[in-house]
Amino acid sequence: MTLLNSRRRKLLNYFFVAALAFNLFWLAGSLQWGLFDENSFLPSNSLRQLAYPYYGPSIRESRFVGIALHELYDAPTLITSREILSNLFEVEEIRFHTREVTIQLVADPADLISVPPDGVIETYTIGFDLKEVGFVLPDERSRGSRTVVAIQDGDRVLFVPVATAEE
Amino acid sequence: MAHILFPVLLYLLGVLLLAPAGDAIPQRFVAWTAFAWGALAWMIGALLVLILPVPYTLATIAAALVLLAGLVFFALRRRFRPTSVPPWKGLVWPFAVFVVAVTIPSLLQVAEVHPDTYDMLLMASDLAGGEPSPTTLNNLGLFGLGLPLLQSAAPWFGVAFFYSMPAAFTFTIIAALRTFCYQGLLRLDRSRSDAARIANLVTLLFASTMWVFFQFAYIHNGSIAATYLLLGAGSGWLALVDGKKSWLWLASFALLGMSLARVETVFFAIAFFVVLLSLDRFSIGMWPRLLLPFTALLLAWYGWLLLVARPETKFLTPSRILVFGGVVAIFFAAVSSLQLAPLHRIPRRHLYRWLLAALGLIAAVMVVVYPAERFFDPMWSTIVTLFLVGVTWWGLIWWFVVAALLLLARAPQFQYQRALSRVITAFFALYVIFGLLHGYAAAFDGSGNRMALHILPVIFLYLTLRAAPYLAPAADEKSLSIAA
Repeated sequence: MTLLNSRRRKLLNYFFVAALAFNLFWLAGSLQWGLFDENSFLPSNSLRQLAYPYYGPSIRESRFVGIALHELYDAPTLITSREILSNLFEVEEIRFHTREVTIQLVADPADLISVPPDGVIETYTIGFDLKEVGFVLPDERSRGSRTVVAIQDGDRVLFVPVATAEE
Repeated sequence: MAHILFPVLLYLLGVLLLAPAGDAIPQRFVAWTAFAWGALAWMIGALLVLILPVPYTLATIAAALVLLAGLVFFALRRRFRPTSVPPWKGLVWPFAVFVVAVTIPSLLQVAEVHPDTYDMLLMASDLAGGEPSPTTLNNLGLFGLGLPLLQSAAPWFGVAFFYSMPAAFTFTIIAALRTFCYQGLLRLDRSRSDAARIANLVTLLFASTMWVFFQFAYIHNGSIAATYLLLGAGSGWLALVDGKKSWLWLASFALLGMSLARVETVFFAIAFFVVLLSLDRFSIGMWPRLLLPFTALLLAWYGWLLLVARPETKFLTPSRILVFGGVVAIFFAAVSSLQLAPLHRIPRRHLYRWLLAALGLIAAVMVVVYPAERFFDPMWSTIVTLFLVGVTWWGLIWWFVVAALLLLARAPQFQYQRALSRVITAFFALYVIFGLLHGYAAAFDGSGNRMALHILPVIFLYLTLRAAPYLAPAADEKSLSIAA
């Protein structure tokens, strides 16, 4: 039986130790100290990250967000629920795989100006109470309503929030 | 409490189902992987209830499970002698660790979601209601069955969905990887202490990877597919090494679980069967029996999809369902016909080459037919996802994998190494084809990234066994042969 030569063996050990050390450092850093909050290892549209801006810098706090999805079922459709959440949390983009259409959410109302008005599909107001959908948020943003305009832009639909009750 | 209770019930169901196998399946293996077998039984029972004209309720699924357990009991009792060791021996520690693993996310209410997760949880809720909506029926052609069927129990237990389900599967992947590495190293005549040490280190490296750790809370079907692929690969390899049919049966059921986890995974399962078949370790006469549950359940599922659900999605449409069902049926018919007089002379060892040639041909045609960017974009996305941007969630794992493959390229081969190397090769061949079909985004939640998790535990098992010559041989080889 030919054993690997010692050089290859050492190299393999180094790779193993490097990968393990990186893993443990990254994991511990993420869980304990929130070192990597700004890094994109979270899915861009996970509820955790959606909630993140309201939970301060520590990833530990945002990790323990409880999500009561069953409350969302009361919404007329799932899509609407996503829209509510997305508008609240000012997410830039959500891809709806099932409809094969990219729905972009624009947080800044000023963006509305740059969109041709002839593409407007619908204007509606969404009322929300985040406590009811399972989040516990620390400020007044948990309640209110938001008017949203849906705009057709080529093969995309833009949902542009134009006002909130607080505003 | 329901979050903990349901996976624990599935775990106990798994123990109950495999207990009559006696010594044919090591109790330690059953103890660490019981959840996966209980979950598979639930999926099968729920699938039967879904496609039969009976109401989809907890009671009917429980009745199906009782029937299933009875069938398994009599089938196993007929073939295997009961063990003298009580079934709960060796169960305490694995069970305790499992309970802790499912308790933590349940208490903390941690849930990581993908947009697909909403759809799958809505499907589950809808199925539990008894009358699936057209949206749910349609989505069955998009997301597969595994997760919706398992989560459909949640409303009956008084909760919206189970926080604990991803943790239960991720625990099983990690525990199964450790068990297979340990068992494999023992079979390659390494000492117990070395086998345990290496298995522990490999498992630690795997489990500490951010993307793997993330799976403890990530409600998606990736961890389900990864669990059953690893169980299929590990059991299949042990079947070849030990020459035991019991492992082969486990592998075939694991591949059924994999096929139910996602829509396209049935092709991976069939490729895996071809690999096992091409190694020619077992008589061709047993293969039709082995493939019968796999084929019958999948054909029943496809038949129901075609006649009742009739989804129109980007994955499954009625015409594609016919293709999927046709492939399953033709594969079964082809394998069954191999024992007929005119065909039994066909050298089975060539089957794998034919499979690779067929996959290569399909990929080549697609490359020619599609524009160049359709090929290069998903491949580039995959490289970026695994090696560049993906370092923030994969760590250095894929760099390590590539380095280890290169460094171990000239290491002596281990027994039936080809089984694992071929599974990995076939997986990546199909991975490329599905990438060409649907494209992979260079993103954390892209399907290319999620699918890479399916094969990673099998690669870790392969590399561990490949590295076995590093370790000192066992002092007393006889005492290690079938140690649990």
